Amino acid sequence: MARKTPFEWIEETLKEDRHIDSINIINENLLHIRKDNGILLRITKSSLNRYFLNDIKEILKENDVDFILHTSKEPFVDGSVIEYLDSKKKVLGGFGDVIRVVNQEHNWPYLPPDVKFIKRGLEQHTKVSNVRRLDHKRYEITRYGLETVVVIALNDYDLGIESIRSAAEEFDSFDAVLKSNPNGSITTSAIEHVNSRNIKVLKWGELMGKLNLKWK
Amino acid sequence: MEIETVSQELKKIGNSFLTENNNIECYIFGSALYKNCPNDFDILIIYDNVEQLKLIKSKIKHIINLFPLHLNYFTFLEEKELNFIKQQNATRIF
Repeated sequence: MARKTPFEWIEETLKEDRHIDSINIINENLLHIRKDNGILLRITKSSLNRYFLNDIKEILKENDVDFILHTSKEPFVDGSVIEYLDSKKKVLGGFGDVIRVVNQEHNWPYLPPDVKFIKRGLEQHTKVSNVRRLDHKRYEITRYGLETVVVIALNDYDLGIESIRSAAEEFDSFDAVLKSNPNGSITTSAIEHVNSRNIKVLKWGELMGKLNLKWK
Repeated sequence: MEIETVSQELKKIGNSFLTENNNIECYIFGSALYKNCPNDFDILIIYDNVEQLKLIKSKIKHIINLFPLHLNYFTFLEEKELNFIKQQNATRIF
């Protein structure tokens, strides 16, 4: 099957991007993109489906880069990885994230738009004292004088029963599903399913209101 | 074009379902229909029951490793409720 490699894909996508000075595939595991402001973005790639701290340390030992491109669509990323990369000012992301990092001035800090929105919104809530990312989808929200709650953010445009079933299988536990995409709907089957599991499915505004109250 | 390769691979899966008498439909929608180099391929799978879903997920696994597919799974009932195919102007693959 004829197909482009991940780096060829990026090269093709970015070849006419006005923010780029040059793009060079150094070898099969290293891509250099020079932005028009002179900043170099060094990218390596990885096809793992799950990322834990040791995986990331190994990858960075092989190539000291600014960005690790995960070529699998939506891998599991443990919270320890998120903390570690943040401390090293490096990013793990997919194809869309590469494009967005190229189009911002600096390589770091960077957060995917939905994560940035959720984190900032939660941190600004008056009842919230701390927000910790348990993995790429779950947020542990510590509140002043109220229970700590864990919310899983699903960014589906339309949220169906299978997304919720898959989330329940993949992630340990959570108290609520946040439909983080502001557009689209939640299907009746999805709502019935969460109700039967004694968890909540909430849109952004509903979560903001609920955080003011005792959870159960 | 990549979209043709992705469609062909999905059609092969569709053909295997024909012989297994399963009621599953597959559609493509989003930017892949009008961009040469889309970030990903938005795919809609419509199914009847969880067993069918398990089957198609196992069959689709190898394509996920080759192409950035963004898979959306809805039951026929959910699709009807959302009017997803019409809303997204989705094109049927099988």
